[in-house]
Amino acid sequence: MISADSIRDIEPQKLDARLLVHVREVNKRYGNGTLALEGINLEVREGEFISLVGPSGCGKSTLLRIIAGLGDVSDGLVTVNGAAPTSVRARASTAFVFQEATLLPWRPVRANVELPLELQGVSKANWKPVVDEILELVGLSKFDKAYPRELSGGMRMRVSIARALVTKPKLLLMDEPFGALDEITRQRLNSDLLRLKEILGATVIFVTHNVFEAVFLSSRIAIMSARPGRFVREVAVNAPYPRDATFRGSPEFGQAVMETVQSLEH
Amino acid sequence: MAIQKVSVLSTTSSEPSAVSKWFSKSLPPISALVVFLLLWQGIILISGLKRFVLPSPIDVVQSFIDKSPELLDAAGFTLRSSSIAFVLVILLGTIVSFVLASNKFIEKALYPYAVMLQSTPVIALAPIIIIWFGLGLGSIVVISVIIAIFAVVANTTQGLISVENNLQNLFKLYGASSNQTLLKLRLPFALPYMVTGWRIASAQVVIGSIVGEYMAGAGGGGQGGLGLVIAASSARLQTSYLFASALTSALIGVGFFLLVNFIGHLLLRNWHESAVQHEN
Ligand SMILES: Nc1ncnc2c1ncn2[C@@H]1O[C@H](COP(=O)(O)OP(=O)(O)OP(=O)(O)O)[C@@H](O)[C@H]1O
Ligand SMILES: [Mg+2]
Repeated sequence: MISADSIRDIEPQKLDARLLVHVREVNKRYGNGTLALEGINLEVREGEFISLVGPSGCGKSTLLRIIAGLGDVSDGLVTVNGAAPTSVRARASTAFVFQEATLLPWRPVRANVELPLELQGVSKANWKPVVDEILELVGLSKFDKAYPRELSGGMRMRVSIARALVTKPKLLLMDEPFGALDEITRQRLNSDLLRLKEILGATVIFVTHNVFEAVFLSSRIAIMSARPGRFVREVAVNAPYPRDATFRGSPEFGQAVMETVQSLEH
Repeated sequence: MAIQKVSVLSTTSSEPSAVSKWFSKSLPPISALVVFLLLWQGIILISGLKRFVLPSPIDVVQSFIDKSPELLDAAGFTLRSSSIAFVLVILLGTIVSFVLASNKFIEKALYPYAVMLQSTPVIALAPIIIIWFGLGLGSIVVISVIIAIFAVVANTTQGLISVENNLQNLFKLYGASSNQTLLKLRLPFALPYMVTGWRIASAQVVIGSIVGEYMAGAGGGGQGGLGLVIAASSARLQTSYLFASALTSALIGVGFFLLVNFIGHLLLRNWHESAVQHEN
């Protein structure tokens, strides 16, 4: 007998794992003439964890926003879950975590996490079990009545992640979510994020400036060049999940960090 | 022994009772008032100024007592016109703000006229208003609304257009309807700004009503309020009565302000910096 868990473990390696995000020959020129992205191609399969790394202003956020359906392309084609990013089908399977926690300050933690269910019209009777589960998973069960201003930066980010995961999205887009946190909190949240991803079986596209973070989290790292943003190289991180803190001391980790740093220097 | 004494003292002083808290908060303004009144009375005794130029505090209190029926009547009317104006200012001001904030084009098209209306002296508009609405309550309320509405419009509009971009993106990502975005995002986000507008307007509607009564009050019909009392008593050089009525209108203004402050506190106390009790 093969358990559900072991299937999920081997899925990323399987060639026929379903294609979740397809970006083909995308250019993006902003209204003021800035060419932010040029000739971008990206295929993300279910279960992958992909990091986008590159110098500031190279178009990482722009690409993520396009995949989320928050901005449009100038040329090329993007599909998410087989549909246009702005379609209901793509929207229903996507969640976004911003650099700041972007919580509603007038709502306590629980009501903040309920927001996506509320906006998507999920009937109220079904909220509690889902929200309880996700609060438990991010370790905030005891804080469900607290207001955002009463929480630390790391806890606020947990709420933001809980809110993103409450709809059980297939695709999680994260734009430098831990950029503003201290190193210890960042590492804890990194481990937590990998655990949550495994439990919920999500696919993640993650933007970061931090090479160590990218290597620790990702199965693949896409490295971008300065403006106009292009993919210059891809680094595969050859280490199986689940990964824990000891992974940071392994030769594979060091190898991938080296490769990434070298690619960035080009 | 000495050490024990010190520690006893410090525990009592670190937990002040409610009474002593109130006392330490009220003492400075009350003593300032007492000093002010004593100086005032003293200056009159020394300089021998005529009563109609500067009445003494005692004269003013006397006038309060003698004229209390008239003052109460007038205050009641002013309170009524201010309240009507205040409700209208909030309703109309909020609606106008939502229209202005709904669309950049509409905002650009209309905002200059809102500013123009605000900058036109009411005294220039008063004759037209009186022709249209007649002497009495109608014109008084209109004048008061014109004076006070800008504070609500400016602040509410500012709040509605300041909603953080990523919060709007969040609502877009979950397919929120425009109603949901309005009620669950823009309105609560704008609330602290709105409360600021209400606070300013609460003082301005009282001033507006008194200006309105001064220009458009109808004394015969009992629609003169404090504004007409002020006009009449100054014409007759009843200076202490003038002081008493000015003081009454100030009290109404303070009452309005405190009420709005309290409502604002109730609305924002859980989450907004302005209303939160900080523990450092
Ligand atoms: N709304 C916009 N209008 C015009 N130009 C924009 C806009 N947003 C971004 N840009 C430009 O596009 C380029 C890419 O921006 P983007 O925010 O995607 O970069 P980034 O890689 O996310 O940078 P960072 O690491 O600093 O977040 C930049 O040169 C930026 O100035
Ligand atoms: Mg960015």
